[in-house]
Amino acid sequence: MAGRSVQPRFTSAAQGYEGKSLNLNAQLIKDPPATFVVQVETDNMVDAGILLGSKVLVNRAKASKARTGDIVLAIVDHEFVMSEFYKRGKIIRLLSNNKAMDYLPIEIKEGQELIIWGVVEHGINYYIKHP
Amino acid sequence: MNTEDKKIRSRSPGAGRKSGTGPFREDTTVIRVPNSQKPLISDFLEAYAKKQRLAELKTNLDIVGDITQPALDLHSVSLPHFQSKVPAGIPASADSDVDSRIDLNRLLINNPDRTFFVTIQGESMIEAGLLPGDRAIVERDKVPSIGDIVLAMIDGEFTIKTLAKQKNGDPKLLPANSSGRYEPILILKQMQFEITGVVTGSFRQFK
Repeated sequence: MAGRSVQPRFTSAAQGYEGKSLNLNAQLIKDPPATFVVQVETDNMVDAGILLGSKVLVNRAKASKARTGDIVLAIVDHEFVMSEFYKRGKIIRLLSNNKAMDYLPIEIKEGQELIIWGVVEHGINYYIKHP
Repeated sequence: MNTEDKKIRSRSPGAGRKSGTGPFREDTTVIRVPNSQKPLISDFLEAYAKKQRLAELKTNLDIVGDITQPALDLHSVSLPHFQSKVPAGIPASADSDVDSRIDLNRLLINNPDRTFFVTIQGESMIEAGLLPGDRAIVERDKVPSIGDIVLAMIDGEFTIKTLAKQKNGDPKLLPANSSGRYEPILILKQMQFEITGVVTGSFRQFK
């Protein structure tokens, strides 16, 4: 490796892009008081790019407005579940996004309590932790 | 072993370099050229070889190019952070159950001057959680280790892959996609190659 590694030349990669800049907080947080960072401890959503150890930004203000296709953080039987929300008529399901594990969808039955805690707006992965 | 034997062996079918595996990726032939024109022809052939290599690599590269830099006026926004489990039934403002508070700029950006964002193209890294459209956070001037996800430049094209080593010690770039649609990229001596930065993280918008 050492013999062939070349001094990284940022200039070549960034030429012509100097004008474009991005503020992470402004880009990722639309509603600061309602936004929470949650550490992911499930592999339920890996196909959506949310890995074990990822963080997600959850908007609580959108909890009541969850729509089919949204990724939600929900409470079912006193347990936290992160899943894709599906609603059609009276049918409500929480779907996993993990083809390899093939988890069964959670079907919310009549009388069963479902609390949508918030809607996942962003996913954050990190590969190298900063000191 | 007598000479007859040797001759036969040297001509055995399938011996030697397979056709199409040289620098030009096709059959070659020997020609004589005037000395004065040799540099010109060499340059031409080198450019041709590079074009052939890139054409072959293209499907494996998922070339990236959309680059942004972090804004310099980074104001701080501190968000409540739940590390273990989210407490049930508490009002959103109940700070007592919050494990810590997080500022995204500080969480994701170590050194703003050396950090930039690159938009992910293609599905070569999906199993590492890098989906098309995601922004990868790249830190340049960071010493890459084997196993790191890196932004690399091959023959002028940028790609994001996992850094690995070939048997001979030269680098190779691995996809994170077990579908078999992407081949590892072996870095050859004749390629222009550099590691521009290390991917330290990524972010994505869901809606």
